[in-house]
Amino acid sequence: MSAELKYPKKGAVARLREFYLEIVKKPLTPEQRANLEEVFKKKDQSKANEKKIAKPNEDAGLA
Amino acid sequence: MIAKFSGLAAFLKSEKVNNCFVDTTILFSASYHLDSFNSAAEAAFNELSLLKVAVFTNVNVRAEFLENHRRVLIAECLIDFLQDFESKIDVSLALKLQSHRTSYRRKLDEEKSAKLDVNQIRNFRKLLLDFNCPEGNGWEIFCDSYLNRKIQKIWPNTDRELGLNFISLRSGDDSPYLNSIPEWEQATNLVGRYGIASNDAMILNMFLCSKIPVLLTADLEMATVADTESKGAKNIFIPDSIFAGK
Repeated sequence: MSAELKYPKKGAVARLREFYLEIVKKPLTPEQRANLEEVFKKKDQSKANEKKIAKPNEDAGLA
Repeated sequence: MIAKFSGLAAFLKSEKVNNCFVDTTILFSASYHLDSFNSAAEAAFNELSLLKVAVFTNVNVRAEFLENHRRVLIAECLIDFLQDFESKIDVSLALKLQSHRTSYRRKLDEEKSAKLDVNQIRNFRKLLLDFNCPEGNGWEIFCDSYLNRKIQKIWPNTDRELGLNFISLRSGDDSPYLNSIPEWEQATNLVGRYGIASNDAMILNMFLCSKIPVLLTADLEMATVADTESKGAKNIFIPDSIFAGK
């Protein structure tokens, strides 16, 4: 069989456990957070604009 | 023969076995600390490392491994998302995420895996898809911000630490690890005769066609079918806790 075989490293599972906890606990970077804040901001603006457009139609309907 | 993990090292030494095959249950449990077989997998990999036994797997196992981590990580990421933006998301979505967080915390308290099922993920996807903005839909934004950077790292780390070797089939190649070329008909036959999942049948078929004498699995169904099909020619090792209930 091939001479280029790989083998499990000593203490591999313990290191994978630490690694998992490390990546799962990692928060968003400031840049990612800022990007998402921007998305929510735009979403709020878009909702507000929709309301503004809807208002005259409602009035027209009532009239 | 089906045997317990606690007898693995003695067997490998006495039979001078220097390679084994692992399925998804073992790779996943080795890489996820909340899996019920994490300690058993740790003990097994420590023995394999000490005895310098090469660990083989295949692409089907890799795909299943990724799928299991997707289901675990989405559960974790949804909670991070709620924590970060609870005050900004719609009430209906917040309520669903809060309910998910309660259930997740309960599972963690019970030291159980918080893996979501496919339908639960679809439901969260639908809820987030409704969140449209110029940057894309809410699901894609969520995945890109939270899931992507985490899931990208899982496989390379697992592969590097556990020193995995692949049995792969490329047209025209004669793999030094195979006695025969796995055929679709054989895999279908396993599905038909034992009612096992098609992916499991492909993994098992690869193992049965290989020269590798040992399989490590935490799936009793997989172990039983492997033992029956190999007619005692292969040695199947399972965690002691499931051996007791066999």
